[in-house]
Amino acid sequence: MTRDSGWTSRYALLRTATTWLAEGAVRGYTRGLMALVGMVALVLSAAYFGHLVPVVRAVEQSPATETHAIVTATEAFLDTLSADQRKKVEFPFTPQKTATLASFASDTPGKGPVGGFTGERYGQAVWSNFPVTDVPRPGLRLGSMSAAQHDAVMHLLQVALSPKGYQKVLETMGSDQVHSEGRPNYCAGIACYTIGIFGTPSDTAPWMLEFGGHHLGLNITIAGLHGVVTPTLTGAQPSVYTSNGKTVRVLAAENDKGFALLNALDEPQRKQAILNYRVGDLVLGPGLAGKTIVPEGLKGSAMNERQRAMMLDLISEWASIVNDAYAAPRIAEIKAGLNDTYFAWSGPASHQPGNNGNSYYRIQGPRVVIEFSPQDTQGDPILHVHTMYRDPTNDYGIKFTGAQ
Amino acid sequence: MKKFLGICASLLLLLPAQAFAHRLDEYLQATILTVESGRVEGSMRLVPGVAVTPAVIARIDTNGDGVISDAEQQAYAQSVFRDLSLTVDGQPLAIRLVSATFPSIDAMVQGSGEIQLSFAADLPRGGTSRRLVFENHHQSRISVYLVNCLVPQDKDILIAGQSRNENQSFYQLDFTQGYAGTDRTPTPGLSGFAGAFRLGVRHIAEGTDHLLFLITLLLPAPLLAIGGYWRRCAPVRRGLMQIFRIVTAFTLGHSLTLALAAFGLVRLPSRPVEVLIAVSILISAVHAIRPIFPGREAFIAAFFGLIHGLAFASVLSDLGVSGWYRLVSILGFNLGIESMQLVVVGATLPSLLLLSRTPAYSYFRNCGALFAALASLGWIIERSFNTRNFIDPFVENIARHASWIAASLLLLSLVCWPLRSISGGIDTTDDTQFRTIPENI
Repeated sequence: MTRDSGWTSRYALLRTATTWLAEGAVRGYTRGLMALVGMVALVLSAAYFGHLVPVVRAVEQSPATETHAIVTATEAFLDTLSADQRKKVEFPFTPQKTATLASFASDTPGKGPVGGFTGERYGQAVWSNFPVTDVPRPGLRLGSMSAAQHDAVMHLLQVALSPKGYQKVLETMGSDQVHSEGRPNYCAGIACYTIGIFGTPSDTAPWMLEFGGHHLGLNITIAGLHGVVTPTLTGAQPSVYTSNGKTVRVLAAENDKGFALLNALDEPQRKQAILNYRVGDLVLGPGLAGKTIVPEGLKGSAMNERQRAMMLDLISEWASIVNDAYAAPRIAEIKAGLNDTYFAWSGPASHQPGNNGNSYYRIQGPRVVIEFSPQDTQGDPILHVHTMYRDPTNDYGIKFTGAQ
Repeated sequence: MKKFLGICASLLLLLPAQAFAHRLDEYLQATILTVESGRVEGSMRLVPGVAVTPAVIARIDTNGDGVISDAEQQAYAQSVFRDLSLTVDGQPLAIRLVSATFPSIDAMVQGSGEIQLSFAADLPRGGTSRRLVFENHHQSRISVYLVNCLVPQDKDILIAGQSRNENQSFYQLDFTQGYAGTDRTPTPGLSGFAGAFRLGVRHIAEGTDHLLFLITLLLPAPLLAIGGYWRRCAPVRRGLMQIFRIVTAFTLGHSLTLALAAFGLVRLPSRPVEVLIAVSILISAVHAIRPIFPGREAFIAAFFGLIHGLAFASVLSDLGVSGWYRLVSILGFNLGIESMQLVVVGATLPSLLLLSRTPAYSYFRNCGALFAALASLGWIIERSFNTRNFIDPFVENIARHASWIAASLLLLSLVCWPLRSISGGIDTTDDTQFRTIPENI
C-alpha cells in the first residue's frame, strides 16, 4: 500500500475527519444502529397494524372531541326550548342517496298552478338561494326566539365552525339584514334565519344540522368522527355594506384569491382557464345535487406547485368554513385530487380594489365543486353574488351516514 | 365606496316593496344535457327576471286571464322547443316534452318563479366520432343562457371537447361512441401509454429517495470488499457487471410489486412503505461506508426494489384506470421509470468508475454515504411521525441541482484521474488506519 503520497498527506486532515466519522459510526455502532433501525421498524409496523396511529391521530386532531362539543352545544340549545318549540326544530334524519329539487308555490293562493320557487330537499331539510318568504326553511326562526335561545344558536355555530367560517356566516347575515330592512313583507333578514336539527345529536350515530337564510344554506352532517359541510351555499346582496360605521365586504377573500390565482397564471395557462363565454348564474345551484358536469378550464396538473397551492388555498375558503378537526381531512382529500381539479374563469381579469369583481369562476375536481357567481342586478354587476360548495361524491356526508 | 353605498341606498328607496327579486334584468335559461347511448336528455330551468317578466308572461298567458292553463303550458313549452335546435352529426333531432312545471304568475312577477322543462330526443346510431350541437334562441334579446353536459354515465361515451359562443346560445359537444352495445372498454391510445411513461420518468426524476437509494447502492459497486473493508478497486469489467446486476435486480424487484399492487393483489398503507424506503437508503449508506452484505448487493437491491415498487404503485393507482388500459399504463409507467433510471446510471457511472481509481474516491464515497444516511434519517423521522424537519427541504434543494452535481462529479473525476498512479489504482481506505483511529478516540 502506497499511502505516503504528497496528495494524501496534504489532505490528511480531511481524510482523518471523514474516515473517523464514517468508519467510527459504522464500526462502533453498526450493531447498535441496525438494532435501532430494527426497533423503529418494529414499533412502526406495530403502530400501523395495531391501532396506535389512528388513536394517536384521533386524539391529536380530535374530531371525536369536536363532535362531542357540537353535540353538547346542540343539546344546550335544545334545553332552552319549550316543548312546542322543540317540535318545530327537531326532525327525523333520513339518509338518502341524493337530494332532490323542491318546488314551492307562491304564498298567494289561488293564483296559477304549483311550481315556482326552488330549493334543494334532503329528507326534511330544505335550503335555497331564494328568500325565506318564498322557500320556507324547516325549523325555528331566530326572530321567534328569546335572547338566550338566539345566543345558544350562535354559540352552537361558533363551536361547529372555524372562526373564519363563523365570521363568514355573520357577514352574510349582516348583508341579508341590510337588504331586508324596511320591508315588512319580505323575510330575508337575521330574524328569518332558521335552524333545524335532523336526527338526535350523537357522538356516533349520524345526524344533521341545517342553518340558513336568504343567502346562506349551511348543511352540517355529523357522523361520529366525520363532519361534512357540503353542500353549502353562501352569497351576498349587497356585497358591500356598512355596519356600525365599519365597511364589510362579504366573500372578499373568495373574490380576491380567485383573482390572485387567475393573475398568477401565465398567458397560455390563462387561455386554457378563461372560458370564451359568459356564465350568468350558478350551474350547480340548489336542486342539482350529485350532478357532475364535464369539467372545463385549466387542469391542476398544468399548473405549477405555487399555483396549485393558491388553488388549494382558495378552495379552503369553503373547505375551512367548518372547524379544523373536520376541515383537515377534507382539505387532504381535495389536495389529493388537485392535479385533476379544473379552474375555469369567465369575465374580466381584474376588479376594483375594495369591491368584489363581476367574474364567475368554477373549481371542479374529483371531490369538490365550487362556483363563485356574481349576478348582474339592477345594472350593477358586483352588487349580488352566490357561491356554491359541493362534493360530488359526498354531499350530505352520504359516505359516512350509510346512505350510499 | 361612498358612491357605491349611495347607489345602494337610492336603489333601496326607489324599489317597491315587492321587487325583491332574485333574478332581475334577464331571462335565465339554464340547460343541462345528458347523453346516453341511444338518447339525449335535456333539463331546462327558465327564470324570468322582474324587468323582463311582462315580455315573458305575455308569451305564456296568451289569453291574458292571469292564470297559466295546461294548454298554455303545453303551447309555451312547444314554442320554446321551436326556438331550440338539436342536431347530431348535422342531422336534426326531434325534441319531445317529458315534463313541464310552471310557477304562478305572481311568483314570476316577483322575479322568483322558475319554469322547468325537460325534454328527450332519440340519438340515432352513427360513427365513432360524433358531434352534437344544441342551440337556444328563445327570447334571445333578453336572455342569459347556460348550457352544460353531465359526465356520461355510459362508459362507452367519452367527451372529446366542448365549445360555445360568447352568450352560450350555441353549444357544440364532440364525443366518441364507438362501442355501444358491447362491454369492451376503450382501447388505450398512445396517449395513455405516453402519459404513463412520462409519469414514470417524472416520478424518478422528482423522486429523490429512489434516486438516492440507487446511487448509494452503486457507490461501492466498483470496489472489492476484503476483510470487512472496501479496499481494492475491482477490475472494470467486474465493476460494470456488478452495477448491471444491481440495476437489473432493483428493476425486477420493483416491477414485480408494481404489477402486483397495480392490479390490487398487494395492498399496503403508504406510510410504512415510505418509511421502509428511507430505511433502505440508510442501510445502503451503511453498506457504502463498510460492506455489510458484500457480494449480495443484487439481492438487497431486489429486496428493496420490492418495497420501492409498492410506492410506485401508489402513484399509478391515482390514474384510476382499469383492465387492459391499466396494463398498458403499468407498462408505460415502468418503462418510464427504467429509462430515467438508465439516464441516471448513465450520467453517474463513468464518473464513479473513473473516480474509484483515484485516492479521492474514499472521501467521496464516505461523504456521499454520510449525506445519504443523514437524508434517510431525516425521512425516517419525518415519515414515521408525520412531522416536518429541515432535512427534507435541504435534500430537495440539493437534488434540484442534480444535473449540475452530475456534471461537477464528472469534472471532479477527470481532475482526479491523473492522481491514480500515485496510489496505484487502489482505494486508499487502508485497514491499518481503520484499526488505529477508532481505538484512539
